[in-house]
Amino acid sequence: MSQNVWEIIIDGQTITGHRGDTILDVMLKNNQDIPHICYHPSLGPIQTCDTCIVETEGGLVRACATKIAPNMTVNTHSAPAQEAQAEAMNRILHNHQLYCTVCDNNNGNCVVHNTTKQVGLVHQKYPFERKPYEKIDATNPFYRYDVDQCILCGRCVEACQDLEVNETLSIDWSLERPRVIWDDGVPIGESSCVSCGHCVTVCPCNALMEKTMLGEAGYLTNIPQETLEPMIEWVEDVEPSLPPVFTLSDIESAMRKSRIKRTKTVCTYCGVGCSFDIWTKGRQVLKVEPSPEAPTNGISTCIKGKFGWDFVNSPQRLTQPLIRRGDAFYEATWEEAYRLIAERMLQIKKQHGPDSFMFIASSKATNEEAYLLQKLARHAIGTNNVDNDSTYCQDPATYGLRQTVGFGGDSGSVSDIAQADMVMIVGSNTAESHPVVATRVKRAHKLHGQKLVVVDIRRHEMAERADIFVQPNPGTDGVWILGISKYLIDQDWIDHDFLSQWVTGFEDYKEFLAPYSLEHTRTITGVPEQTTMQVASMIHEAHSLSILWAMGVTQHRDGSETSLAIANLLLLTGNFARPGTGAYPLRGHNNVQGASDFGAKPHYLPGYQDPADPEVRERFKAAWGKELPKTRGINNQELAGAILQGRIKMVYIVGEDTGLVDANAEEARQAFEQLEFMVVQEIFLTKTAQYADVILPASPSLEKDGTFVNTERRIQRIYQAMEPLANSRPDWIILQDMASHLGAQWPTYTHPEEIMAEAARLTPLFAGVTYERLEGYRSLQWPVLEDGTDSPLLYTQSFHQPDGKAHLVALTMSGMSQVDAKYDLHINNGQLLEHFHEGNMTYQSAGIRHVVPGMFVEVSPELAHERNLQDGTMVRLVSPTGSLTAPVLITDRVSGKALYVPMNSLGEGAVNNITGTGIDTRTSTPAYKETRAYMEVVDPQGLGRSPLPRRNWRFKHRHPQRGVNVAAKWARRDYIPLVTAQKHLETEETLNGTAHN
Amino acid sequence: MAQPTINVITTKAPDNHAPVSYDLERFVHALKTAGVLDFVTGLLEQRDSVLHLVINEINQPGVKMAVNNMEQLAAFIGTIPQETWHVVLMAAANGIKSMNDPKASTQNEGMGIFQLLGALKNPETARAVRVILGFLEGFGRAWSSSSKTTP
Repeated sequence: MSQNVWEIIIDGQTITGHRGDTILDVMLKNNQDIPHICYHPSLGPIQTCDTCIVETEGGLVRACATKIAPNMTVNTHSAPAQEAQAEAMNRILHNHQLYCTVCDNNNGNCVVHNTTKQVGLVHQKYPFERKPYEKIDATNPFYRYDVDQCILCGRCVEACQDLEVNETLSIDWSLERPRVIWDDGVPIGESSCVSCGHCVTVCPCNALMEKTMLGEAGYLTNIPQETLEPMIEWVEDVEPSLPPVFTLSDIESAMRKSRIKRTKTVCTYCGVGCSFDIWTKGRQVLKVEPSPEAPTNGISTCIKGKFGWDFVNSPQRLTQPLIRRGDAFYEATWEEAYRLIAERMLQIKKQHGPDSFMFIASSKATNEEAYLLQKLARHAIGTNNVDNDSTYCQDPATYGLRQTVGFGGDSGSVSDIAQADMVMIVGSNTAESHPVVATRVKRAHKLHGQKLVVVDIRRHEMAERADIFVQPNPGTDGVWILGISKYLIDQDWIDHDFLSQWVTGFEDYKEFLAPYSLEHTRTITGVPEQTTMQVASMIHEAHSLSILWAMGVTQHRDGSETSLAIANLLLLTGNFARPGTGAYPLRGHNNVQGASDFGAKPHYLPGYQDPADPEVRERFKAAWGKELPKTRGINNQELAGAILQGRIKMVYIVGEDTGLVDANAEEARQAFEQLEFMVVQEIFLTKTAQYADVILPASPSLEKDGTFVNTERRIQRIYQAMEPLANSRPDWIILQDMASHLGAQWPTYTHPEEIMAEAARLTPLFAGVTYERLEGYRSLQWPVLEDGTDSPLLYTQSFHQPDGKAHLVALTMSGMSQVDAKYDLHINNGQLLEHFHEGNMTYQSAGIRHVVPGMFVEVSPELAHERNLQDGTMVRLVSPTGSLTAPVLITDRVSGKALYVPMNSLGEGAVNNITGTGIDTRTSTPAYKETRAYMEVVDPQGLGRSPLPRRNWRFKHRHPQRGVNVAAKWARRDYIPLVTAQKHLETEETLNGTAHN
Repeated sequence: MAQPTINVITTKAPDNHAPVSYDLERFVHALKTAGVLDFVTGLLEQRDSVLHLVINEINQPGVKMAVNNMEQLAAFIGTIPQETWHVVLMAAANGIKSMNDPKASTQNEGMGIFQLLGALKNPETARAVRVILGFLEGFGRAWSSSSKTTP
């Protein structure tokens, strides 16, 4: 037996565990359970409840926190152990009124209910006693807290402090009757809570509940309170013993299975790809229930994924095909719509040729739907004019990585980011755009000493937390990366072994870097030399470095160049192909990775195969029965110009609001007016759909099966939770029907599984992907070999280049676009935590609108003072391409003449009214972040108040502490721990440090 | 050359409700004929206030005690072995029958101690006394241990 594998004896049975395991770890791994409440696999031991007490040679100990020793003897059923467990359970029930049959949490997974049964309590020793506080806090739009039901286990606090690391919750142990508090005891709706949902998810009873569950989950739970309370009292008095009451509640819980459906899905919002179960009752979404087995996020969520599903049942949903006649849309049947579209498409093809079409795939639709759309373009029509919105965002990163290491995707997993010694975040507001990824960085930084460097022009949450916050001049972070690279080489802080074995081009790159001295770098970027040296030193000392980046890098003219520089830096320092290392361009939409992976790009087939490669062409011809088009297609950024030049006559758009998201959106909308025909397949009547000739009502993710690919290259299944609304249809069905009406002779796909099977047969990158291998929470990270072996960490055997080595690639910085000096303000832009992009979906949520009702422009205090602005002043920002009007929000998140406009405007404040025509030099990604404008004051009084309600978390302060501070509980004279083993008696070390995973 | 528009002309949706099944119609008609439909409809529509009233009514100490006692009675009956219970009931029935015998029920004179002792010489009477004494012993034992544990 190895040194680290030990045998212990539990209840007379010999069981094997590993050094470092706790008693509870060993038992759970061997499918043995003992009572436990506060322990949670995602949180670790918390040590507040004492229900897991067991007897060892040394006495009574907590199984959750006691590490095993060789030949340890554990007795979970001895009289002292069982008495302690019962006493602990009784103390908990003193704080919690049991009324399971009429409780919305009685769904089979209530920890308090199940543990009370497991302990075998017949009568409560300590009657329930109300707490002397206002019973319900329902000030948060999404969840409520019932203080009387709270057992003070501390799970919510632990989750908030050390998993989400928003640091809002704590337990005030100094009160006579302790309670959970938000910040320093304010109502939840007035606190720094970001509504991520972690606390509600981990609550072991009904103290914290989603509002959408209340009165809806159970058969008897919508009884009004004034009737319910005497009912509960009646049952308690008539039947004081617990077992019969539990039987009744178990029956009611079992009955709920006929009304509540639990369906596994993947979040439809961002590229993190959180997966969870969604509970529905008919079409009603009751709650999102994350699970520890979710591969990317575990139990973590954000406000959108946990609470942002109202859009699915919005009365604004499109439910019937619409055909334009004059200046109105008229309802039509599907057959009418298909016939009209086919007739016009075939007409246009005959008159103008296949390349007069453009197809835009959705980054929110599934992989199978992206595959079918590009097949419609290439096979049914005969054009490579197909794209998705990766052109607007991460194509520069894809370019940079393909040039250097070979694959244009994240080189590892979110778990690698979590275990890195050092993380550098460049141009990413991670806590708001990829919240769950940010939680992993925040947790590692807080608990495990991970070093954090943030490079950004705006002081967002990650910048506030960083060990070093680097603020380069706008558009110069690439130069700074080059400067730090040169300094590392000069100090000889590079990985020679790695470079000699795995990398080519070092000498040329070293020569290229020669001009980027510390002084030159400082002159261009404004970053002090000392700062650059400090960061270089941190990189040198870190065993593993991961670099995350996003639109702050890619949406610039030098987006590809900066991405190259980042990849080069990682190669110089040997930070690839090892756990905790690598490059992480964070993908925006839930399936923008998949839309590109499955071929919705003008210059790639599925799997990034080259449409000019003879072998690839032959393979597709054999499968599709037709020659592939040869000419490289146009991309989204080129579309408006191509329409205005008369080259594009017809556009078919699936799930993309091009009229709002295109840079210089006004030009895009003008172009739409010139089209001969336009089809939009959508769930809402978006800005873009308003220009269509035919609108087809599509189904969102909850109404269909399929797969998504997240930023980790992870392919995950979504399952249908409800039927399509009214007469809407899943996109894959619409596309198949469309192909049939065009005479395309496709096979009949009866389920998306068959589409995936076809794509996998044609694509070596995911040759081994099957629905069976993706069942439930299983997932595969491409490349996937035919035998199903996948690739969580890339490049462990070689780099994806013809010679197997990575290449250091010299680059050419162009600098930001130059405009007239009158455009004196820099307009940064991005998304807010609460709204996803323009807000087409999130504005449908009343709760999200309550938190962030609209958009605004962030102005620095110094600029506000200079221009005599106050919160709510209406200003117009004018750029060379257009203007927007928005209210001012004064904040120190921006400084000087750098402003910030979030994307969530559907009207006059739409930021892309002013973003310009600059593009990345390699990929045509619009340089959204290089927008410059001047300001006019439209109405000094304006709203007369802040456009962001003062209750928003951005105006609040967090209250950090380590976990639940359980030592304070056991220090109280009225809380007597039940442990007796000397070694286990409370010490700071036992309770506040080593308990964390 | 389309200008943007948000005008959507909807037609009244055809009545897509599935026809009510014949059986359901019959059932509802039967309820109506019996005069029950109105009652049930009223009860369901006023569920909350009806329930409130019922709960208030039964949430009285006397009612709760009665329900609790009934539960305990049911639990008590469940502890008695079936055969024993059968014998007890048979014996009680026979005893009631004997009770009605004019020899037992019509004599009004008192009984002296020797007459009582004489009655005990009857084996069947003695057997009954022994059974009752056994019952009293068990009753007293349980009563005594219950008194010790009651707070």
